[in-house]
Amino acid sequence: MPDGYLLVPGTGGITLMDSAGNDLGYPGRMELGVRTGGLLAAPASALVDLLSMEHAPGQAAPVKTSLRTGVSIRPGHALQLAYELVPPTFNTFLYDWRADLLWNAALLRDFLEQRRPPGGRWRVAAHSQGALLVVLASKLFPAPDAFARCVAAVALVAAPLAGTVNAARALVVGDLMGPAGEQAFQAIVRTWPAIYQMVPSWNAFLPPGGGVPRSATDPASWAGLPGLSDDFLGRARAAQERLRDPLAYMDGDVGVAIVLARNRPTGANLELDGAGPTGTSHDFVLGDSLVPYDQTLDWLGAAGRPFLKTLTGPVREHAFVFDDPTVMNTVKQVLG
Amino acid sequence: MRALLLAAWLLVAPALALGAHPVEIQEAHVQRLLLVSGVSWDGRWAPDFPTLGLVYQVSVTTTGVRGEAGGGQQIAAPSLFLHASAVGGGNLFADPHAVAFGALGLVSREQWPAVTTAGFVLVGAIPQDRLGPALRLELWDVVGLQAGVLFHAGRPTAFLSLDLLYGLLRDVGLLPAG
Repeated sequence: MPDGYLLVPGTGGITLMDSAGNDLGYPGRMELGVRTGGLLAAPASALVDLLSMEHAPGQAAPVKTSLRTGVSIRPGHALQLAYELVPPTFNTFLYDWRADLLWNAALLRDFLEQRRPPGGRWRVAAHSQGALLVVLASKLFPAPDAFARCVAAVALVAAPLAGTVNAARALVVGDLMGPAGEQAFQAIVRTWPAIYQMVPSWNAFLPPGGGVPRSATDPASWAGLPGLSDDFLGRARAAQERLRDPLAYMDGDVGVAIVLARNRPTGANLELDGAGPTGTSHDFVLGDSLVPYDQTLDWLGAAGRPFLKTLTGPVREHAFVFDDPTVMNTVKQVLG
Repeated sequence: MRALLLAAWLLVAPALALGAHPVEIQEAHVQRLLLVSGVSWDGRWAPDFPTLGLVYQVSVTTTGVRGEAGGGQQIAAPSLFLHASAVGGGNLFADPHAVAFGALGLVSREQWPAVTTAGFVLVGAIPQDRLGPALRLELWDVVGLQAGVLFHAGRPTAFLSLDLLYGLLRDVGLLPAG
């Protein structure tokens, strides 16, 4: 039996469905509903209880995937819009991209082990949050070489290994699914641990009038914003710790590439004001519009550099990087 | 038996002892092949609808690959692509008949807002064996717009077409999720 190919999509790259099988859409479609006042999709006010989650401290799995009575939410299908060039022969790992990274990583580890092609291994293309899940899943195997029994090759594409300012901004202004400043979406996003777990690992919050930049995982940095969860900031620190030395548990004959673009302005920090962090970046660096290149390179260190594939030229932005022919060609060469 | 086990271990041990290995990327022409569905107008108000076809684009040059200090590789994405498309369908609204369009040209991948590809193509259409130039724009890599003029026996007619990534119909709920 030959090896199998697996796509692990990124945040928002998988639709959400309710327990009755109704397609709830994806961030772009939800934003359409907000911008049209509910004409073309549900308005923001109708989504707060539906899309908010509940978690218990110390437990990775969500207590509730929806706060609406009698409703639960599960992943639907991967968006063609974001993965149009991925061949139909690829399997897709579907997950709820709002939930705790470590919970989804455990599900991915189980998937890699239990659904491994008979007599073969997986060749994995992972995008954004999906790439973080692959790294975290590798570290849930019992030994550094155990991952290699299930996986032959990995392309980690546009992985925010060191975090991203965009996640912090989504927590502040709620612009992940709706227009910036939409209070309903601010309330929703602040119940999703995955977004906290992708805030910058570097000191990215700039105090007003200068001063020493502050950490995005320090609860004090968020003082003034309602609904922020100290528990989720703790989960963010735990996730960042596990994302250090990302290839440490990929020993054995695993072919690996870390694919990052360096062609678009990407936020490097957020300004603080008296009421907490704002949605405004003071500085921009080169990246893929979400993953800053230099910060991620620093996180990887010298050990990670031989695995790095740096993309330049007219490559698509972060969310649609798999629609780019150069990226897909690179992924195919890595996976073989 | 011991010798056999030792030989087996010597074969397996190097793989277990090594860490992950980087994969070398080779220079290559890169390509896109998409199934599209759409609508077009060619000199009449009644649209040609529905249409279904293929879009194929291949880079004129290869990717530029070079090694970087400290390891790793830099990959420069090509911008200029040869574009070819073939679309067929029917006009169901007035004087029902079959239609077919083909296009060949050069397009460039861009980093403009919304516009991911822009270029010029030569469009051929049947019936009436019309031919003419058109501007092609692609929005977010999923919507293709072509606008131009087709000529038949020296007479020009305006031509406009819209092609959508077929899979997009699934994203918006018009096709069942597979």
